[in-house]
Amino acid sequence: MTSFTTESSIMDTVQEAAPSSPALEVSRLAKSYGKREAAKQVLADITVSVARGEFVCVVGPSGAGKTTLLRCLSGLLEPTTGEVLVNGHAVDGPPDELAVVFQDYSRSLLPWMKVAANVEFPLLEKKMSKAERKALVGQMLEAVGLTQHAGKYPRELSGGMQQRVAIARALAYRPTILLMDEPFASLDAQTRAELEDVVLQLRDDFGVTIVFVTHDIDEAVYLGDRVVVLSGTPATVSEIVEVCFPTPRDQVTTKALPEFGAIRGEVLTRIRDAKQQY
Amino acid sequence: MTRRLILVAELVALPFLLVTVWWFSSAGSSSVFFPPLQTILAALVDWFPEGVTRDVVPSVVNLLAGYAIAVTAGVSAGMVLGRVRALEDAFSPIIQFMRSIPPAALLPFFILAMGPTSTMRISVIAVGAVWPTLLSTIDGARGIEPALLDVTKIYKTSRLRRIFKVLLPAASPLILAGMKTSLAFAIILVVVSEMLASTAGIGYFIISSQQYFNLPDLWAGTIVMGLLGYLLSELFFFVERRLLAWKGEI
Ligand SMILES: Nc1ncnc2c1ncn2[C@@H]1O[C@H](COP(=O)(O)OP(=O)(O)OP(=O)(O)O)[C@@H](O)[C@H]1O
Ligand SMILES: [Mg+2]
Repeated sequence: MTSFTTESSIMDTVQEAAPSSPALEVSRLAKSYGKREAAKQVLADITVSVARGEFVCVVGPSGAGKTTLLRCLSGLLEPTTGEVLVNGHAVDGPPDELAVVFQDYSRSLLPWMKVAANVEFPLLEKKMSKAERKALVGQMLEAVGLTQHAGKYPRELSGGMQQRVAIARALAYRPTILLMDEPFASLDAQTRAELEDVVLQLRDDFGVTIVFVTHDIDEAVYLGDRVVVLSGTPATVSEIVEVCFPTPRDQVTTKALPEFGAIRGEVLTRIRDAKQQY
Repeated sequence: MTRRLILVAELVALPFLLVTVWWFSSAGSSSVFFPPLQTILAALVDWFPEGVTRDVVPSVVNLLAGYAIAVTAGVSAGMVLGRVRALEDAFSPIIQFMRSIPPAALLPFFILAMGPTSTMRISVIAVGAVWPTLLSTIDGARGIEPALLDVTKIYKTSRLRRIFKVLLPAASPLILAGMKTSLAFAIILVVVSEMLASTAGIGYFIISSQQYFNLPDLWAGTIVMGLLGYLLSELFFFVERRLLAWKGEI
């Protein structure tokens, strides 16, 4: 199917949905890999819903099924049972209004295209003039601080810069929902903190709903409005922790709040409990 | 700077040196088999210019036409076979068998079936040279990074753009490697195809010089063929370097 997504079609989809419907609704989702005897169940009975503009972090041990869950949300993978609704519509293949920043970001960039062309790539399917595309690409590169590097190939950039290209590309697509799979896992603390704030800023600027997978509990508590703890084999939602710090958040003051330590401790305990259960 | 100097030395100085050595060492030669270079060059000059239109042009046309068909067929079939597992499994035994046949062995059949035409020669080149490109393209298409395919799905990339901006570039290093071997095959086949049932072409010029025991002409034809092959592979490297510039290290 060749579909030319336009700005207006994105808006239509959003308006069609009942205004009260959450951005993402996952109900009783289960996923197994393989068939019959060889089947291996990874996710079991996941039910969670994400409000518009909400920032939800998903944490869980390696191999828990976080990537699998995200692939089901994005329509790249069909759930074995259960359902995913995006803006009130059942997901059957990747929805128009959704973008993904993949876990192996360096492999998800097109190595034969320069940075600007990579960011422009998803826009080629939209009804935009060349000038509009250029302007949007410029704006996104500016937002992630890569204006200087627009003319370089991805291989000429550091890991952190490549990651920013992947983020700029996802945002240039103007999604209403952004899924991010351990986007900062391989970055140094400094770059990571910087990009965390970039993402928070972008959420405020564009009102995007974000589902953010991470290993790092501090990161989850710092970024999220809620933290979903995924654990067990097959994995289930073992806990949803509300995070209620004031916005805008700040790397220094937010992390120094006494509540920060409290919530962080709570999430840690949940993960440990969940581990002992299995 | 030093790299450039070395390059100039390789491209100009060394061939020049070798030609000079050949020129002087063969100067007084009375050997029938190794005539003086001067005599060979005189034969070459004699052959021009009608030799170019009569022999070189048809050879080059057949070569390029056959090669173009081989590459087009090899790349398109290879992309499909490399992406569709079931098809590759089905066709793999046939392909392995066909590519094991030395292409020159097909020539007698093609002459019988199609007559001594240039269509026949183009077909032989196409059928003989297609295998390296086909096999290498299959490998290239099979190894395309799955993450890139996910990207095209998420961003609803149109079919044409997916093929030309994602799949082909991703497979291009291996496609080009296959095309390089196919080019070498095609160059061999153009000469061989002109040595049988032919009245024109560089291969014909070489074989008829041999039959008349005209060694200077024979050498002249061989040199022209060598130059042609050299030129084409240099051209190939030039294009390849541009197409794979994004990879950096070459
Ligand atoms: N395509 C697949 N086929 C079969 N099993 C798979 C496949 N993809 C993942 N799995 C299995 O499913 C489980 C969950 O994998 P998944 O990649 O979702 O984990 P994750 O939580 O994202 O881990 P990490 O934090 O290391 O990225 C793992 O045990 C993995 O081996
Ligand atoms: Mg993962």
